[in-house]
Parts: sequence; C-alpha cells; structure tokens
Amino acid sequence: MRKMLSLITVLILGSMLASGQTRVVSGLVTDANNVPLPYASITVKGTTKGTTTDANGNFKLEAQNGDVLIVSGVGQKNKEITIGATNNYSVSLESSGELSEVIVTALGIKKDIRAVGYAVQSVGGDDLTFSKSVDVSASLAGKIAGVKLVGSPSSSYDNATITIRGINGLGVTNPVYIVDGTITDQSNVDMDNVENISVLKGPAATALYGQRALNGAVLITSKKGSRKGKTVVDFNLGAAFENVSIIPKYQNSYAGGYSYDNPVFEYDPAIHPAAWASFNGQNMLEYGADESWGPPIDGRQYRSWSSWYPGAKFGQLIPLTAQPDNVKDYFKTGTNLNNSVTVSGGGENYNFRVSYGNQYRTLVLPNTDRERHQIGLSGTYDISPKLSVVTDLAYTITRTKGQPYETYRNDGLNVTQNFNQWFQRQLDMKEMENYREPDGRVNSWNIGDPNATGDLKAITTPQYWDSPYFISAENYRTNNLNRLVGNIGFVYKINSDFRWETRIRRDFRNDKGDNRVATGGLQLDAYGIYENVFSEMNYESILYFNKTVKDFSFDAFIGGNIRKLKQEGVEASTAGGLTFPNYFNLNASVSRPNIINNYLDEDRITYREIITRSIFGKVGVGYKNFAFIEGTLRWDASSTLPTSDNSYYYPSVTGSLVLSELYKGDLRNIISFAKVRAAYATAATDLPFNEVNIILDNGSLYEGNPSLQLGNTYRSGAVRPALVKSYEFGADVRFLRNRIGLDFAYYQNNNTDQIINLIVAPSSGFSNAQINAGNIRSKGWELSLTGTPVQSKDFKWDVTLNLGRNRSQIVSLAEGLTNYQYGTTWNGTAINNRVGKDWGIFTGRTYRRYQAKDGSGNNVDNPNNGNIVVGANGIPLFDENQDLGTMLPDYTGGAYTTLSYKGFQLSFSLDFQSGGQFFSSTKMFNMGTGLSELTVGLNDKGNDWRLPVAQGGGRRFEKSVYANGSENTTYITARNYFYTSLQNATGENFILDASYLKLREVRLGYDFPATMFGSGSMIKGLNVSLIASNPWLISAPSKKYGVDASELEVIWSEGGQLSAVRGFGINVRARF
Amino acid sequence: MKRFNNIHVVLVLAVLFVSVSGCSKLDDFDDTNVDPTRVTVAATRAMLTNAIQHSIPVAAFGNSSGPAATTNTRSNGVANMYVQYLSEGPYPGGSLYNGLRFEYDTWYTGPLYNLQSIINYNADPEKMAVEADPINNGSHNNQIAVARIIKAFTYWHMTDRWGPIPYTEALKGAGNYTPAYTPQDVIYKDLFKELKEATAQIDNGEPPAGDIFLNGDLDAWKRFANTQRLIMALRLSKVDANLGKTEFAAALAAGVITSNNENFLYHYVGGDPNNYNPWYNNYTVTNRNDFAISETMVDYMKPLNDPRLEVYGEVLGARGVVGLEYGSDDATNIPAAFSRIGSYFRGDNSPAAIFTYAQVLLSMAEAAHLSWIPGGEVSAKKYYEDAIKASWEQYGVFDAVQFAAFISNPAVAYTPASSIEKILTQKWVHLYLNGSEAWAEWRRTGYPVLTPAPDYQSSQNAIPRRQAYPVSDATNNKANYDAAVTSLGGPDNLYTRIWWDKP
Repeated sequence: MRKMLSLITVLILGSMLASGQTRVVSGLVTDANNVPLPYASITVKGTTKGTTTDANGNFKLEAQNGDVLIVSGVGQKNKEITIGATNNYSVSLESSGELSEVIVTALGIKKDIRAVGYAVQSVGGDDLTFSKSVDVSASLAGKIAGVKLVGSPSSSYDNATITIRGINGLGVTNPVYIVDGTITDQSNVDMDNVENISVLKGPAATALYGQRALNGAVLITSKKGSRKGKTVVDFNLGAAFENVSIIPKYQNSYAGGYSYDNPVFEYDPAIHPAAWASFNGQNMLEYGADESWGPPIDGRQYRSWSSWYPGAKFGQLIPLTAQPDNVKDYFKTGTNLNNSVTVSGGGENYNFRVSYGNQYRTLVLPNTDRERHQIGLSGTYDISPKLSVVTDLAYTITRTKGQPYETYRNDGLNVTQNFNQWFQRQLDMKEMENYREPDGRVNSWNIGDPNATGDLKAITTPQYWDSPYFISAENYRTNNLNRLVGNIGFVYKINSDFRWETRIRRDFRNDKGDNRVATGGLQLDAYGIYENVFSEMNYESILYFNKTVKDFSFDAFIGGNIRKLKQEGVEASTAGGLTFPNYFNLNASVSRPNIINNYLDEDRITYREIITRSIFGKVGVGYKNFAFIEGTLRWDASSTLPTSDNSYYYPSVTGSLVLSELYKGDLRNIISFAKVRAAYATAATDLPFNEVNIILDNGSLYEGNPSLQLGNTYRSGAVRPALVKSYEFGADVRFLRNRIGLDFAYYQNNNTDQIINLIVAPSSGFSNAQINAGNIRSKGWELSLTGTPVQSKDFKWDVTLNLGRNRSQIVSLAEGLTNYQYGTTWNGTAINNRVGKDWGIFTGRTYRRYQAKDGSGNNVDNPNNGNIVVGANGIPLFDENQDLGTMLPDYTGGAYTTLSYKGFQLSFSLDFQSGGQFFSSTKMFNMGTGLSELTVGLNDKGNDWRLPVAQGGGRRFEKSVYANGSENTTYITARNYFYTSLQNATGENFILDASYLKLREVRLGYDFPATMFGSGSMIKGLNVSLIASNPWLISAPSKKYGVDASELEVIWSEGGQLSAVRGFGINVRARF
Repeated sequence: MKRFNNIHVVLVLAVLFVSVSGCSKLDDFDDTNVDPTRVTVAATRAMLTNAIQHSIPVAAFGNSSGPAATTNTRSNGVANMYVQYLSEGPYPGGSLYNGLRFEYDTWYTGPLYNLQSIINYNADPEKMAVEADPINNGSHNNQIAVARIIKAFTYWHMTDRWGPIPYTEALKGAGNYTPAYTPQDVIYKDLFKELKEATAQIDNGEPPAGDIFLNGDLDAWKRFANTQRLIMALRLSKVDANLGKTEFAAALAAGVITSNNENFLYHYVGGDPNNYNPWYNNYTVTNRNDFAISETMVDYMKPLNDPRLEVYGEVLGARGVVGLEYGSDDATNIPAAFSRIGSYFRGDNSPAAIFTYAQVLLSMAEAAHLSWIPGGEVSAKKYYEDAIKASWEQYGVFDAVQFAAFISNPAVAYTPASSIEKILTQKWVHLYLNGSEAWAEWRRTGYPVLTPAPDYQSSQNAIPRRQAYPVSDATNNKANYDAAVTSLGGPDNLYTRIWWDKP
C-alpha cells in the first residue's frame, strides 16, 4: 500500500517537474555505515530554504530542478547533491567526526584524536574571546576543565594567570605559553590572531617539552593564510567602555575621625593668631584621622579640611553632608579600542598572512593609558616540491603609563587601598580635584590639628595620605616593551616516509621603564629606572618518520634542541631625594643612587644565563584504527645544575583503545565513539640560574666600606633534579551521532624529590637549606561535556560544560619537617604547606571559646560552652595558630555556549569556583576604620553603637563570657569592636570564601547575509556584535565586602584589591 | 639508492647541527652558571662591616630589622614603650603590649653568622689566605677577637629579651639545623669568658679592616668589652651576687669608659639614605608621626626642671614639651599637638649611644652601694652625682647653678635609704631611647615605678618581663623549643621572668 502511495506521489511530482515548478523531494540521510542520521540539516544552496531529517533520517523539501542541496550533519562532512529527475535521494555522508578530528599536541604536531593517550582540550578562535578585552588566560576561564583562573584585577593592565591541575610544588606552579612552537610570555599573544588553543594538561602531554612544561602548556596556534583561497582582507574594529562594577558598600552616616565626639575649634590666644578668635567654637573634624569613626553626618556647619588652606575658602563653613558616590566619582570611564587588519592568501606553492593590530586602553583610574601595536607575519614557501621554508613572527610594541599600584602599601601609591581601607566618608572629591594650592604646594585632606598650633603650614602638612588626585596625576610609572617572537625553519620532505624539520626560534624582549614620586607630597621625591634585555634562542632539529604497513601505522621522530637564554638588566633609583623639584633623572639623586642588583621578580632579573641541551624522541605504533601506543624519551643537560650531575633522562608511555571500533550497528547510533586512554610519564626539573652555591648578598656601603652578607640559604652544591611521576586515565565517549561528547580524565602527579628550600631553625645561621625531599601529590579529575542540543536549519545551540576537581596534598616534606610556611599576612595569619594536609592551609587567630570545667579540670556541660571569652575589658581573647582550612577550591569549571538563529549568534561564558578561601585586607580595614556600612547599627540596648559607651552606645560581644564563665556585660566602643576585637580573631573574621560564579563574557552578533552585498560586492562578509566583559558577578560571598574573588591580587590573598570593572562595547568584523 | 642518500644527508646534517653548537661535550657549560653581578669572594672585612651595621646600633634600638629599618620600629622597638619613653599616636599597639612573639631569625642569619664565619675563616687553612687574608683584613687574632666581642654583645642583648636562646649549638650551619636552647646562666658565664678571652687575644698586628664602629682602635675594643662585662655583671645583683661582684671588679680593673670622650656611639651617616638614623627614616623620610614622648616622661622631668627634657622632646612653642598620654587605645594625631622625640635623636646622622660614661658611673654608684666596689655610700653618692653631670654634659645642657639645684632637690638627692630607686630612676632618664637597656634595668630592680598601660591588650595588666619566642621556632625546632619552654618555668609569654629577673 505504502509503495503504491509512493508511486502515486512520484507520478504527481514527476508531472510537476515536467512543468518546471517547485515540487517536493524526499530522501534519506545516512552515515558511511548506512546508519540513518537524524537531525541532519538540508539547505538549498543560495537560499534560506531548508529542513532537517526526522528521527529516522528522512526528509522532505520543496525544490526545483537544478537546485543544489547542502546536506550536513554533526560529525559528518558536508555533501552537495543536485536535484535532477528523481524525487527521492539517498545521501550517504562521510564521517568527519573522529576520522578527521585532529588536535594540536606537543611540538605543534597535529594528531588524530584516536591516537592521543592523554588529556588535551582545545578551544577554537571564535569561542576564545566573545568579548575583546581578555588576555589568553582569562579567555580560558571556564572553557577548559582542570584550569583554575588566578585572575588579576580587571582595572589593571596585568594578565591573569592560570594553574592547570592544581599546584605541583611548594609554590604556585603556572603553565608555559607556546606560540607556534616558541615558548614565550602570554602578554605577547594577540587574541585576534589566534586560530586555536590546545591545553596540554599533564606531564604525559608535555613530555616532549621537557621540564619547562611540567605544569601544563597552553599551545597557541596562529591563524594562517590558505593556499587555496583568494587573498582576503579582514578588518576587526572594536570599541568598549568600562566602569567600576564592584566596590565595598560604604556607610554614609558618620564623618572622619577617631571618636563620635565632634571636635570644636578652641581659640587659644597663646598659640593662635588674633584673627582666628572668631573661629572659636566652630565644628571641625579630626582631619588627621584616616578613619571614619567621627561625628554623625547631619548637615551641621563645619570647617572642611580645605578651609584651612589660605585662599578663598579659608575660614569658610560648609554643611557636613553625605558623599555616597565620592569613590565612584573618582573613577572614570575606561576606553578600550581594539583594531586589526589582516591580509591573507596563498597560491600553489605558498601561503602568507600579515596582520597589524593595535589596542588603546585607558583604565578607570585617572592618568592611565596603554598603547599596543603588533605586527604579525606567517607564511610558507615551497622552494622545491621537497623543501619549504616556514616562518611565524610577531613584533609587539607596548607603551604603558600609569599601571596601577596594588597590594597593601605604606607609600600611599595604591589609591584604591586609600578609599577602601583608610579614608573619611564625608570627603567630597570635587574639593580635592585641585590638588595644588595657588602657591604650588600639594594639598591633602589628611591634615593636622588646628587646636594644636596656629602655624598654617604645620596644620596643612599631610599626616598619612596625599590627595588621590596628586597620586594619580604625578606619581605614575611607565613601561616600554618591545618584543619579537618567532621562528624560521625549513621542512624537507625526504620521501613519503621521512620528513626533516629544522627551526631557529627566538624570543627577544627589551623592556624599560621608570617610576616617580613627585616633589611636594608626603613621600620623599624619587625617580627610578630599569631596563631589561631578555633573549632566548632555541635551535631545534627533528627527523620525522611516518609509515603505514598493512594494519600497522608507525609514527616516530628523533630530535635535538639547544636552548640559550640570557637576560641582563639594570635598575637604579635616586636616594635621599631629588636635587630640584620634579627633576626626574638619576642625576638628580641627592645621595649616591641605589643600584639594584638583586633578583626582584622574574621580569626584572638583573642577570641570568641558562643553557639547556636536549635530545628527545618518540615511537608510536597504531593497529588499525583501534589501538595506539606511544613512548617518548627525553634527555636534558642543564647549565643550572651542579656540574657533577647535570643531565637526566625521563620517559613517558601512553596508549589508547578505540572501543567503538569493536561494534557496529545500532549501538553506534547511541555510542558513536568510545575511546579509553592511559598514560604514565616522568619529568625532571632543574634549578633557576645560580642556585647551586651559597650566595653573597651586597649590603649597604658604609662610607666607602663594602658590606657583604652570606646568603641565608644553605646550599651544599650537590642538589639533584626534582622528579615528577604522573599517571592518568581517561575516556572520550560520543553519543547520538556525536551530538554529545563526554571526556573524563583522572590523574595523579607525585612531585617527588622536590628541590626544597627547607626552612630550618635560623639559629643554625641559615633560614633555609636547599635539599631534595618531599612529595607533593596532586590528584583530581576533569569532566568535559560538549553537545549540540538543538540543530535545525535556522537554529543551533552548542554548549560546552567543564568541571574539575583537584587536591594538591603534602604527602611528605623533609625528614623532621611537618610544616612549610608559604606566606604570611596580618596579625599572625599564615598560609602553610603541612604534611598530610591539603596545599595551602591557613592558620591564624581565632576567638577563644568558653569551656566549663569541674574542680578536677574535666570538661562539663554548660550553656555558655562555645561562647567567646572576653577579658575584663570586654575585648575578646584569642588563640594563635589555629587551623582555618585551605585555599584550594573544591571545584572549578564553567560553561560556554553559542545560540545561533539565522544570522544571529548569542554567545556567553560562565566560570566558577566552589570552595577555597582567601585573606582579605580590604574587609579587615574597611570594617576596622569604620568605612563599611556594616559598621553602622544599633546595639542590644537599641542604641546607636557609635555613641560613646557612657551615653548607652558601644557594643558588647553577644553570647560572650568572662574567663570565669559569667556573662559579659562590658560595652566597648564601636572602634574597639570593629578594629581591635575583630582583628584579635583575624583568621575567623577576614579569611573569606573564595567561591564565585561569574558571567565573564557575552556577545550578541549578527552576520549580514552575503546576498545582501550582491555577488559582485567587495564585501564578502560583515558581522556586527555587541560585547560585554565581566558583566555580572552572579554570586560570590566576598562580593558584599567589595572584593571580586575571581580577580585576586595573589592566589590566596589581597592587600589592597583594585576594583572590578565591567565593560560594554561593539565589535565589527568585515571581510573583503 | 636515492633514498639511502637522503638519509645520509640528514644524518650528516644532524651531526653538523650538534657540533655547530660549539661544544665538545653536551653537558659541559663552563661558567654559564656564574653570576658576574655578584661578589664571589666573601672578604671578611666586608662581612665585618655588615655585621656591625646590623648588630651594634640595632641593639640600641631594640630592633632586629637592620640599620635602614623604619616603620618596623613600631613592632620591634617596643622596649622604648615598655619603659614608657614613648607613646603611640594614631595606631597604638606596642605600647598596649599587643606584640607577643618577636623574631630573632635575622640576628642569627645576619650578623651572628657573618661573625661566626669571620671566626671560622680565620682558622680555616684555605680561607685564611683568601677571604680572611691579613693584608687586607687585619691580623687573624684581631679579626677573631673583634668578631667575638661583637658576637658576645649581640647574644647578650638577645638573651636579655628572650631568656634561654640557641647558643652553644647555634651557628653551625648544615652541622646542626635544630640547635638546642642554652640556659641563660650558662650563656652569661660563657659571655664573661668570651669577653675576657677576646680582649686577651688582641695582638699587635693590624687591626681588623671594615671596622666602622671603632675604626680599628683596639684599645677602644678592649674598653668596649670591659664595659659590657661591667654592665652584665650588675645584672646578677639578685641572682648571683658573688659572680657579679667578681666580674664587676675585674671589668673595672681591666679598664672601662672613663669620660664622655670615650662614650661608645654608633655613627649614622648623614646624606646616605642606606645609613640614616632609623628615627630620621621614620619621622622624616617616610613621614610617619607614630610616636611622641610620653606623658610619663614629661610628668617626671618637667617638675624637676630637668634641662634634658627639651633635648628629649620637641619643643612646641610656648607649650614646651607636650607628652602624649601613655597606654591609651585612643587614636591621636601627633604633629604640632604632641612632642615628637627631640631633633637631637632624629637627625639623619644622630648617633646611637651604645655605652656611655654616665651609664658606667650609675652602675658604679650601685656597685658601691652594694659594696661590690670600695667606697661605700660616700662613693656611691659621688658616682651618682658625677653620672648626672656626665649625662647633662653628654646632652650639652650642663649648667653649674641649675645642676646644684637639681641634685639637691629631694626627689633627686642621693640618700642611702632610697639609693637603688634614685640611681635607677636617673639611669632610666639618662638611657632615654635605649629602651632595651632601660627595660632590663627596670626588670632587675623594679625602678622607676611605672603604671602599666590602662588599655593593655595582653594577657595581664602588667608591663612585660620577657618576649616570647618567634612562632617559627615552634614548628621548625619543635623538640628544642618545647624543652626551652619547660625550662622557663612558666608559659612562653610576656610575663615569665628570665633567669636574672627575681622579684
């Protein structure tokens, strides 16, 4: 019956065809194994018409003779069919999914995913940056399982960093960034040029890079020109604007000062000029206080700080009013302009791509700008059919002015710290903008006490803070960076089996800058300069072998590499002030300038030289498309190790089985691909430069006498390379015709025989001893889920979810050592690596809790047990060195997704961290100095706790007892409560949960259809997008204290966190 | 055949590649790992300079953070606040005894290990000729002797703060990473021995080079060692009077300071930011007006018309020297309202007094009173009055008429009945800003009588008698730390008395 109907249909359709009209055609889409493909899409070329197949792979569509149908399916190669006489078409698609799914692995080798025995995850260009402002690390946030973002404040020019698979040493371990095979710095990457990023997660994946990539590698592949296509020109124009999004919630009820009482000017004829007699009784503030425990802001007439500077305002009274937006008023709107032009193309024997990009960015802080120009060139040219010359080069010039100062500082250069930690809430920014008085002096809100003296100069001398406007306008730093990274190489195809590649790679950086402290402020004027030249050459030669013999494929190479690194720098600063005001020159130094010859940070090392010579090789064998095994071996000799023992070998073995090759038929419909993999690798690490022998440190010359101190780290001169042993297992499974993919990995790294600067009792004469010991084990799992839940002609939804968990644990340190202190901060708070515990255990002060005892000292039940114990003065007692948990997150991860509807795309990415902690100085002082809105409230008597205790104010610790167990009835001042008492339990009060969930990037774009421009138009494509970066910190416990936990200064703490910003912009991409 | 040739070419080129790199052996790097920006020979003269910079003046400031230490004066120079020389303005803390544990790490790893290395190098056959060569560094004996004296001075200062400290087993480098703590009585006895032996070791050879403290004056070094012995001996007045008496007399006989010209002053270098006086750094360079002279000090000195007061504190016009209330947790701004320390003490080159003639005379007055030296109360009175005169002269405020009135004021005038109180109170006044020494004398004698900070933030409403060990010792040297705490006979806090501190 059905056949009859079909026949009739055919006849009817046939008659329609004959009339040249549109008719309905039908068909069946199958894969290469003749399994029907559901949800494959069919479009009529050159039109917007189309449909999708049903659950059984069938489709129906209106078409006419000569129409070309494009048939596509997930994981399949597209196929075009032309409508002819028949009305029914069977379309068999070739799988593109696994058979041709390649991934970039170490040394830039593209490998079939089947043959990869370790975890590699990659993200393609469009998914990398939905919004334009992010750097490489931030662009990976949430997009790669197992990556933890260590953000940097979005209101600075810093790059974020990441850790991959947790922390693998006593210190924080970061991956290397490799651009087209050359190891370089992430700041050198122009995101517009990035084709693809592969993240190699473990030592097995990075074995061929050796020790440098021990903590993972971020492999960046640049876009290349195409040999086939015509020459195309791409423009990319972006403009974004950013504003401060997260600052602490301030109180606006109380003015600056140390106490509630309103200070009043008391005229004293003995010390004050007679003209001031009329000031007697005027309201003032404690101008010198950099806290806000002062009188209520109630509109009373008072003398602002500016009324003590000679001039029009002198002697004026103004109303004391709230300035809720004073901090916001200080920040500006930042601008981020990002433009690039690229020309790419090629011919039969060459391809090329040249690009120029520039970025101009100002921050929300005043007087900041950065200009960046980048020129890129890549290409290949076949000298002969066998020999090609290849190159990738990138030259970057970056000029930065006003990179914000961070951290807790005593020099006042971090203005955000000023606002959030030591400030007066009633200050009006408009009053401060003019930071220079007519006589040229720099003014400040933080002045002296007019009751103490009649000398205006003494009164108006700043106490602890300069005007923030003076700081940003005149106390800035600059940096000029020139960087060339690239390679030139030859590829020689010896025959069908052998290929020989030789490359010279260079990373060259010249970095110079200065910093200044202007004359007239609180700090002694000063000027410092530095210049640094970094150069790394790598000479690399590799012979590749590939051959397939019957069912076996062989894949091998042997190569060598010589790495030569040299860095030289000079850094000097004036001493004792400048000879003339604002004469910013070393020559202006009043005393002998300081020559800084110590290692400051990695970018500013004054001297180092490292040579590493390596020989490495690999043998891989595959059987059918089913089983793969691969082994690598690497030998390194390093100049930084003791000459007696400076070379070492390390191997890796990996394997994979493609289980889906074992079955066919219906199961393939459900589980379309399944691979299991396993890897074992070892890797060794050497030392930084010049760490074999005890160092001699220069001291400060005393009247021509040199001063020298023996270094504090004992070194025996016989340290060995550290060793990492790592294994991992994983599975890669795809479901429903590859529509859903699931990748799972479990790994464990044992970082043994670490080169530890063991902390020893300093009474030995040394604070540290360099030894080989310990085992830091990091283990965890990663899960990545990718899918296309919806795919129809017009609408497509792609989504990727990532989740990872890592535990880095201290299995052992050296013999007899159970704790390694990693860092310290306020009031005895420390972060430790402790044997048997997770990496990064916080220790510090907590409140002492009551425990009732009986006569013989045994614990007894008591309703007050667990309550805070206070001293006779009502201030809580505390216990030191209490365990406060770890900085390690429980889970990290994220998601990114793109929804496309016709020409529209909506993309966004989310990332999160669950668990883990950090120390917040901002919260500590924001509360301690009475700036936070949390410092305003009523005590348990119903009175304003900021009132003096004698007037019923003050606050007592609720549920607290004296040492004898009786209820605490002592009220203490609000300042004692929030400053002294909270800090007494610093650990309990200021170690915050670092969890966050952030919407990091959003992009809404529209592709103008090519038909719009007509076939003859110059314009080949146009996309306009609206973008947002950091639009929404959806949830974070630290948010209410004004700190974005995804942007911390360092991985475990912040000392004066810069504000987070939110950016919105527009981006236009055009192709010609 | 063609294919063979290709491989051949490759192999040749690979070999070439390796040899082009210019080395015969792949693991030979010559001196690549040597840093040309660093000194490679640890000349003992430079180590001595460094050790002096970080020990002798630092002891006077009770500060373990080196000569350029600035703001840390607050956390480390607390002895000046224990004895109420200074009050704190906006950020009270040290004066409320909120610091419990104090670091001594940099004493050991810095000056002490440098000094120990000087001693070791001068006895090591190889190093003797290079690092410690006598032509450039001074005779071996003199290098060792001076290093021993400075080491003894430094250890003495430390043991008076913490009590038992790593001593006998300390400074052995890799030989012992967990040195045991030595009881204080053993340390004291060994220090007497060291000082005696060191002065005897001084020979007629070249004095040590790099001696920025006494400029190679070996007689002065002997006098320095003997003066230390004298003052150390007096510490034993309650705990071992016999030994104290013997050592005191021996030190005096060996030769101590005999005039203000022989005062031991550490000279800071004006115009050299790396060698500024720390108070100058604190007040002037970094503009931190955290400290004012205390009301305690001003209230004592002002009624007596003591002319030193206007040296000790800043004169604020007609209001004179205005002291800041001591021991309050109220934050207060200082400039113009309260007197900072006097400009005599806070110039960029203001010297730090280590031992002074007046200090020696006051010690002799007490010794005479105790009959440790002959002369009885008559001599005690004379030493006492001479001491005050020497102190006034040292501060440049001596005036015969004013002096006569001062010493006849009943609050000052010597009487055998109130001898100790009078001597120690004047010593307290004289030792202004040498807080560590004044604090030791207060602990030993209980004078002057001081009222603890009302808003104390420690476990007891009392002035500290000790400082607790650094927190790192409890983790890095635990067994020995635990044993040391047991030997204290009380908790490791601010209030357990050390060996010579008896009620």
